[in-house]
Amino acid sequence: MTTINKFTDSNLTEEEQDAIIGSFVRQREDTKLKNRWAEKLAKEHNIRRKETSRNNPAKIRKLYFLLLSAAAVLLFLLVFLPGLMMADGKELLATNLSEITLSGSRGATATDGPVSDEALRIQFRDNFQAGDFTTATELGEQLIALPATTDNDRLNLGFAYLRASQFPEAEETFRTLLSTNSDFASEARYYLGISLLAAGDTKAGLDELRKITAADGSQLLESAKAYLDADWK
Amino acid sequence: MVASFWKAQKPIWTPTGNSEYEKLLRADYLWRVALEQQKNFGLTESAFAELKGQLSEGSEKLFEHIFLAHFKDCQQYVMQQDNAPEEVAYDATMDAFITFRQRLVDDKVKYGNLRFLLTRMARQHYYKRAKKESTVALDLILDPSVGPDVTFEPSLYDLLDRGWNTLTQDCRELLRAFYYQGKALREIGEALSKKPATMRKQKQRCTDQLRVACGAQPQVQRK
Repeated sequence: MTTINKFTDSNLTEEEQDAIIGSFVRQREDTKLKNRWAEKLAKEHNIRRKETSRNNPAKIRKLYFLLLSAAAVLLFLLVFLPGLMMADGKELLATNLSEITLSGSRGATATDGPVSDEALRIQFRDNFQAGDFTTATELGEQLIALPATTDNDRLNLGFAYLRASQFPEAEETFRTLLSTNSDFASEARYYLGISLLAAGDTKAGLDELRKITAADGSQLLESAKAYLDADWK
Repeated sequence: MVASFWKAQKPIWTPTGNSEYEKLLRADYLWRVALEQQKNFGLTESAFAELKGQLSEGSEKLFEHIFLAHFKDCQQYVMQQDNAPEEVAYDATMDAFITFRQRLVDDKVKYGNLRFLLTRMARQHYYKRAKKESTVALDLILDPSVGPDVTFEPSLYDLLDRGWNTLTQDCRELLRAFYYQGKALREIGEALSKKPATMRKQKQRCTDQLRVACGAQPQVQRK
């Protein structure tokens, strides 16, 4: 039975009636007194009750939901997206290896050399472009043994080794280029890194690529960065 | 009234001699009086008795004059001691003043250390508001002789409030004196030169009026 039903019940005892009316009168008078004191405190003593913030709980819940959703998305992006966006190093390497093409002439050329040298270069190029990298490496080895060979020939031989998956030979070729202070030092550095990566020595490969700077050209630098940023696990 | 109250603050006796001993005695006496009054919001025992008398006669002015000046101190004490939020400490202090005033009216407060009593009441009201009453005794703010107030739904309060406003002034004063000031019907009758039986019937008529105004039947009379 609610208090209101109890109070309107004609069988209410005097004690029950006194309890209800007494509580009401005390509450009413106390409220009146509190209001009067609050007014006097504000007026005469400059004391006011600080307002409790009236935030709507439903709004707060909505806000929390939005904030939590945003936080969850942010967390997802931070944790998973870099992984998703990060290229797989081995895939990147495989793709790039298959796209290695011969370098054009730069620095000293062999145009003034014997015809046989040039004929060898043409054969090398034809085999390389035909995809016969094993024959190309054999022709390239003959070419760099000639007195009229150039650094460009050695670089192209290195490319042929890479395409033929002869990575230790590729590594040695690019190291030789680096040691001779060649015009192709930047390319040699970069492809030395690639050779090491391809041979499975990831750490040494990345270390070499880390040495590529802006001075080596923006294209090489960006390519090196792609490897450095890639996932190698 | 307030001016006459302060005249009553003068000590009844003060040592007046000029010897070193009497000077020391006087200083000690004045120190004790000051300390006592500090504990009691500057009230002497006689002034405290006068305050209670005025409250029981329905005059709030002296109480308000003395105690509201200490409201801020009491509120800040609750905030400091219990780390209470400002607005809750304000409410708890207000509750404590209500309780303290009621205890004075009921003559249940003894002169001694009123400041300590009031601040403890405020802290107990804070515990009650913060729902910490299970861990702390609320002995000062619960009065077993009165019993707990009935917790009724807001709709009944509104209904009673509307009914209250239909009562005559005489009925309101009678019910206020009986239920709020805790006066016996005999005592109320004496002030109005009416017999207790008359007052009992008058109170019955007033409560019946209130019940009828609230949509209820008058109470069935029991013998």
